[in-house]
Amino acid sequence: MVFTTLEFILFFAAVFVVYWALPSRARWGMLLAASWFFYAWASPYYLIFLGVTTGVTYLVAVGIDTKRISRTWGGVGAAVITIGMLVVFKYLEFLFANVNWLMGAVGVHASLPAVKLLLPIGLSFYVFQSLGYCIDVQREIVPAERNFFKHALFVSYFPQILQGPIGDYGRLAPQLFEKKSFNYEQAVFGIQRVAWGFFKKVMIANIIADRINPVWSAVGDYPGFICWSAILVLYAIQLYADFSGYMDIACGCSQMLGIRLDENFQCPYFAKSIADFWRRWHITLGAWFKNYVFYPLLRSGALTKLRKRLKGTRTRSRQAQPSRNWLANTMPTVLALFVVWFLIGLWHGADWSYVAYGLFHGAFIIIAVVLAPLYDGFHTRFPTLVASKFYALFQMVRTFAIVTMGYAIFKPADLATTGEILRQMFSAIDGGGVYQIQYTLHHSFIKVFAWIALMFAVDAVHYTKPNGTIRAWLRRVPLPVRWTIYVAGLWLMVFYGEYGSGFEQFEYFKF
Amino acid sequence: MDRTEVYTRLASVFQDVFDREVVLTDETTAADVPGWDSLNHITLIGTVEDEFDVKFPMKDVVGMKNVGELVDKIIELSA
Repeated sequence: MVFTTLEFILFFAAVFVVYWALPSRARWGMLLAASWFFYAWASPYYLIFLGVTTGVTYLVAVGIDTKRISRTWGGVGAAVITIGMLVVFKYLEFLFANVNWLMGAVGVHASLPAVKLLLPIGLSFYVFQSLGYCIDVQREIVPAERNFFKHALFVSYFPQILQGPIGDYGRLAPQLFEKKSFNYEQAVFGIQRVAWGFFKKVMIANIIADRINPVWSAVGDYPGFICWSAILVLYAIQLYADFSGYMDIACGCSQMLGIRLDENFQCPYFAKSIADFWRRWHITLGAWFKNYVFYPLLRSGALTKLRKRLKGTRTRSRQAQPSRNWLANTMPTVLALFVVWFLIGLWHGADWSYVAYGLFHGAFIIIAVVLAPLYDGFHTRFPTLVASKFYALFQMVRTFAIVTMGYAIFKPADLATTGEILRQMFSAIDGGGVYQIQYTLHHSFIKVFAWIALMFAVDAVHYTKPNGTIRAWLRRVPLPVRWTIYVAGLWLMVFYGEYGSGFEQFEYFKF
Repeated sequence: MDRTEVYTRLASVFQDVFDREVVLTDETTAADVPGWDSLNHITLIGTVEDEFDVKFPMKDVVGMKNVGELVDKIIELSA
């Protein structure tokens, strides 16, 4: 069931009414039934995968907690089964194709079949969420949930099952089961946030998608740097409006039920570096990889040994060997970052283009780590410049330009097309390209820029004052003004938005 | 080992990892130390472990809120 459809609106309205009408102790059971219904709506067959993930992670977590299985083997077992399921349904075709290629390269004929299995929607998200929970139990950060159905609700909670945010058990689970009473203010905040998410999706993401989708299958028709800069910038805006709009709807619906989800976005296009970008974009995915891949890798025997070996004999006079310290502190981080960004790329999809996308971002982060002493020197030498608004703006524009270039790899999901885009982009400037993109967007597109400006203006307010200032302001304005804004917003979305058939999908569903 | 000794040795570890002098108190957090971010956190933890010959469980590696908690943990583990 997709958020921007009438059936979801009706479904959620019913859930909202029944949820608050029920006594507190019965609510979580009702949420579980609603979540399973929501997930089965796409295909009842998907419930098998949800059931296996829920069952395996439940048994492993309880087994570890009761010491029936060892912490190490329990963690490994949960990872192998859940990630294994992901590999089979998401990566098998890719894996077989690469094995065939590799065997061919060494002169052995191999013909593993091109198996294309249907990827259950949301699998990458709830597998990661429940695996993270098992690892937290293994690390003794949280106790295992002994009630199977309560565990099942944590895995399948409907606002986040299809596209995240990837929940943290310690923060999410207590909210699912605690006693709470209806809070009018939180419900209103939730509705406002849902409306804002709908606005981003139907007034920005869908309209841009409608205009630029034809471009991706006719890359050769669009020559020139200006033309491709416009397309990639528009795609950057579309993707952000699409993904963050979805998150606004998910977080808003959940807030209406008195449950706060982790935030997945924090003004990402205001980031000052690529590392900063990933602390603001798809935050819960980055946090997952940090906690469960990056940290364990850096603490692994191999990288710990490497750090010690590079540092040499322990000595009190550390200042005497700064270059050695730098190498010992930097090299393991660089190696771990390479692995992490390879995997983050691969998480997005079974294609080398996604790996290239991950490594593209990873490369900038690695360069920043390696050159940190140079940056520090620059910052010390020019403190006034570095503290200026001009420098901050330069950093934001630079980061946005890099992220936007990355979409030339991400969007086509095919390295040959990326190569063609780059060839077109850096071909001789052709006025025809500019005309072509103007024609593609056509005149009526101009009003979308007002909605884009509004979206970034709201982000700019949140960037400078991060505590929900706009909703607090809206609460203070006189009732007639507030309702004029609501009605105008609804009227705009109904009459000027693009929705319905052909616009149900969100960009991140395919992951 | 008393807290003063731990702080003296810890200041030296911070200088080693972040290449600058850092004034540490119980309330010091990652936000107060330039360069102490998620990319450097494990390097810092590993260097602290080497210095004090202790091993932090992962629960503490991801859960410690400030330098005061780090010092408490070092004293607890080296007792």
